[in-house]
Order: sequence, then C-alpha cells, then structure tokens
Amino acid sequence: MHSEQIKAWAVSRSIYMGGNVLEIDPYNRLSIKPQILNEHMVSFGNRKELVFTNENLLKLHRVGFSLPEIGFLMSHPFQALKKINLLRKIGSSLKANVRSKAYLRLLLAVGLEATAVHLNEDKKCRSIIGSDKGIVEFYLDGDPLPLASLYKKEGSVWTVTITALQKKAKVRISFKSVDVGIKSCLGQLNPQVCSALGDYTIDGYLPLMDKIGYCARITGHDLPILGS
Amino acid sequence: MRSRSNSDQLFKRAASVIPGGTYGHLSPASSLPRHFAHFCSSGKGVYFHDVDQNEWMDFMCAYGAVIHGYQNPIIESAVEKQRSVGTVFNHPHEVSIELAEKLTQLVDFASWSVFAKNGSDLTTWSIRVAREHTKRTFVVKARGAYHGVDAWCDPGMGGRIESDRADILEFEWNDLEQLEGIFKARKDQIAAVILTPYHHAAFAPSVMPEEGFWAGVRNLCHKNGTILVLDDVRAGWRLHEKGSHKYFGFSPDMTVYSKALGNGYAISACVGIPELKNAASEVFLTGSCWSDAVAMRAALTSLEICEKDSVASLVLDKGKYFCSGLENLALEFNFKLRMTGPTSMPYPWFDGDDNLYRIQNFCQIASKYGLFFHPHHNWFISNAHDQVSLDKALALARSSFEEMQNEL
Repeated sequence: MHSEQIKAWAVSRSIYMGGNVLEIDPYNRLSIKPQILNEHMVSFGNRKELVFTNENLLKLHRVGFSLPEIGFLMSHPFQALKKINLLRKIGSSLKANVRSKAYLRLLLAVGLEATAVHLNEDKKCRSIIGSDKGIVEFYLDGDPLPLASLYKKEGSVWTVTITALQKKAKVRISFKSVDVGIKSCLGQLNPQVCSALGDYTIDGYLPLMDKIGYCARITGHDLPILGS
Repeated sequence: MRSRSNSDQLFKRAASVIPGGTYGHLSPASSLPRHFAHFCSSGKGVYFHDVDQNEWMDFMCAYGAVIHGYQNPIIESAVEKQRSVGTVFNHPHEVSIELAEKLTQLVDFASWSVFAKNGSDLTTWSIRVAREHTKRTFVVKARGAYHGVDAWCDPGMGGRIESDRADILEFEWNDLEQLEGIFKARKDQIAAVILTPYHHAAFAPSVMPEEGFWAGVRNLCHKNGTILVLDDVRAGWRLHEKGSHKYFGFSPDMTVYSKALGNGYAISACVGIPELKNAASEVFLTGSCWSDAVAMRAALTSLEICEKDSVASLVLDKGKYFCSGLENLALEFNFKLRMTGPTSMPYPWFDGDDNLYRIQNFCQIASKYGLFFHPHHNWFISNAHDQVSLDKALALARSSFEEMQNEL
C-alpha cells in the first residue's frame, strides 16, 4: 500500500472499529465493514453503494464531511444514506468530548485500529515492529477487564479487540484515570513523563510497548484522532 | 512504598525543561518508575541516597560507571589534587601520556591509546579507523547488542533514516556459521566486526561465548583482513585486570573502554594494535573537554587500584558468593532464578518469565527493602561490596522472596 492508501484504509478501519465499540447492531455494523476496491477507493460494505476515494476519506477524517462516489451511491441510494447516517453517528460520538469510560474506550479502540493498520502496512512501522508478536492490554486502573487489546498471533496480522482475550498479555498498560487515558489517546501526554509520575503504569515486556507506542505516535501524527 | 514526594516534585520540574524529564538509560520509564527514585542526592561506598533521604544498597553502580564504590577515597584524593591545578587547558596535561602508557602496559596487544568521554564516542570512531585502514565499508555486529547512542547502533527508533544502517550487518551471537556466511556474501567488503566480550542485551538473559566462538571470530577476521573491535565499555575491568579479552583468551585489534575506567568520571579510551596507529591518526577525533585531566587522573588511579588489588578477580568472587546465595534463596521459595552472565555483572532471569512480570515484581518488592535491583539490565558488583553488605542484601532478598511467595 502507498502512503495515502494506508491512511485512508486506517480511517475506514477506525470508523468500523468505532461502530464495534458503539455496539451498533451486527447487521448495520457489517454493512459498513470496509473493503479495498482498488488502490484508490474503499467501499463501506460489500454492496459498493458507499464508496470513497482515498483522498475523500482523508478529507472526511480532516473536516468531517466529504462526498462519496456518486455513481456507486446512485445504485442503492437509500442504503447508502443509511450508511452515511451510521458514519455520521460514529463521527459525532468521536467528537463528543465527554469524560467517560465509554468515550475513553471509543478513542482508544479507534486509535489502536489506526495503529494496527500502520503496524501491518506502513514500511517504517513494519520495520520497527519486526517479528514481535503478543498481546498488549489497556486497562483503566482497578478494572478487572481491559478496555481494549492489540494483539498479533503467529502468522497473523496486528488486530484490535474490545473483548477480553484468554491468553496472558505480553504487556499491560493501566491508565490512572479516564482523563489520563483520553489525553493519552489524543497524544497530549508525554509517555515517559506519565510513566514516571504514575499517570499510567506499564508492566511486562516493555520493548514491545516502546515499539507500539512509537508507531502509535507516527500514526497519530499522520492521522490525529479527531482530525485536524 | 518508600517516600518519594521530593523525587516527584523534582521530576515535574525537570519535565518542564528537559525532554521526557530524564532521558536515555536513566529514564524512569525503562526501570521501575514508581518504585525507584527519580533523583539521587549522594553516594558513598555501596550505598546511595535519593532526594527523599531514602538509603539504597546499590547493585547497579551508576549502570557500571563505578567499580570501586561511590567516592572511593584514594581516587577522590588524586582527583582533588589534580583539580587544584586545573583540568582543561590549551594543551593536554601530562597525565594523558601517563594514562596512555598505563593502558598500553596493561593491555597486551595495545601500542597506542586515545581518549574521549563516552563509550559511543569511541565505538563509532573505532569502526571509522577500521574503514580507514581496510578501505572497506561494511561493519558486522551481533543482533541486539548495544554499542552506543549513534544512529548506526542505537536501540531507539526516533531520528533514524534508512541509510544510517545500510552498511551494518548483523548475525546471532554465537552463530559462527552465520558470521561466516556474511563474510562469504560480502567478500573483501567487511571493515570491522564489533562485539562485546559476551552478549549482554537488555531485557534478556546474558549469553556467554560458546567454546570456540572467539577463536572462530578471530580466525574469520584474520582470514578476511577484517578488524576485530572489542566493545569492552560495560565489562572492562570487571572480568580481568588486563581487559576482558584475557578472560576469554583471544586478541582483538582494538578495544574500547569506558564506564568503570573512570570510576564515575567521564572518560573513554580506545586502544589498538601498532598496525592501526596510522589509520587512527587519520580519523579526526576531538572534543572540547576530552583532554580532561581530572577524569584522566581518576582513570589512572582507578586502573592502578584495579591492578594492585586484582579488583576484577575480587568482584568476580564477590559476585559468585552473592549470585549463588540469591539463586539458593530463590529455590528455597520455589522460584527458579538464574543469575546469567559473569558473576561480577549478573543478569537475573526467572525461568519461564519471558514477559518479565516476575522479575519486575521481585525488584519492586526488593525496592521496599532498599535494594536497588534492576529488572531489565545486568547488575554490577563493585569492590566496595563486602561480606557484610552482601549478607545484608541476601537477608533482605530473603524477605523479598518470602513476600513474593505470599502474594501468589
């Protein structure tokens, strides 16, 4: 994938992940599962009624609005409008800016999904992560279950889940508070300073978290979580 | 948990004017940020104090920069005398010759010596000397080995471009076949092989050279006209009074020393064989304060003590006592702990603890008892450790194991 395609794919995957976190019903959620049509276009769902060029997906991410490909949209306009509404719902939830655990989980999962795309597709991130694998779990202090996890199994790709995994994590990050978690997701905190002052704790295999953290910052630089 | 309010306050102050608050290997993020202090106030012998007046028994020795204990009186007295007449001038001080003479007398293959401040200054310079001498490009290193902060070898990720490592080739430590394959693939193109005396990667158990490894490396370098550089920055003077190559029975072409060399004063040295002296004089080397007479005096005195008291043998013996004591204690509590690497600088490894949770837990508990045990880096035994301090450390370690077992 070329750079613009990676970014556009990360945007579309993140939107889909947003739908997962918001617990949109499975039928509608699947209807916006992104698919790469070609190196310039992504379709939300496999019926191709809602298709964006990479450029327009990036514009959608930046300014919150952009035009889908009209030709595809006209094939099933009613379905396409339903999907546009879903996308708008996810977009407005992301911009809600509320200090809640649900909002933290949404930002975290969406950011991790974009990072996973970079870990799988971006040349620099791939070279940094190398052959590392395992589970990275993100917690809110005191919670028994993780907010979200990023993991890679042997022979697979980096994947994000919001359901708890049964295997032991290679590294665990625990945010002291919702506020710290949200600021971390938005790239507003220095990880070294936060770790030193206990705003979050990291246990386990630190080198994996160092690499993922660096790639997450590359991703955040390319695609600020709330657009520009 | 020990008090840490001053530490945190200072760290917040630091973070406003220093990127990350503290950087590099001293960054709290790479150790136990909520268990270790962020700033020290003083040190003496095997103990140091943090800014909250907590006393710590040290097993890191300023990450290896101290071998005779903090504020060794003989070294400090020599340093004070030197300081009273000055340290950096328009010309080098005579002590630079004395130190070069001492190093070339101690290190059997060496006929010359140069000085800088940091290990990296000279690991990087040494591969340039090898390139100058051989007129070749490529450098071979062991995968995961640390040789410093420069772009060709640093363990970080930022500020790097692809070309930084285009001429650096890697093989797995102890895999002579792989190294031989690299020599075959890059025939007459390899300027240098740079290796540490044994493999002391962070976040992993240390690996000693297998039987025949060093002889094999030496032979391959010799056959291919490649310079063998020994990075003895971390292990130097801790394995043998005349350099770590003597401990493992081989002879490199250049060796870089730092850390213990100055017992806490910033100095590094590179020594080499006569055949490389001309190339060494062609590769530019300088730094405004590198002719620091105080650091050189500290290094000279430190080397004299090392030689006179056979310090390397002493720290190996002390380490042996401590490591076997700790391993036996662990077993008493049903933990399988191995102190890997040489006993003077052991890396602790609990079997099956690949994700490091157990060692982190153990070091966290030990920190409550004032033991500075690092979970991710090899430890260091200094010559200031004695029977009393080691026994005290073992007694505190016993309490730590007991507490860890109770937590299970």
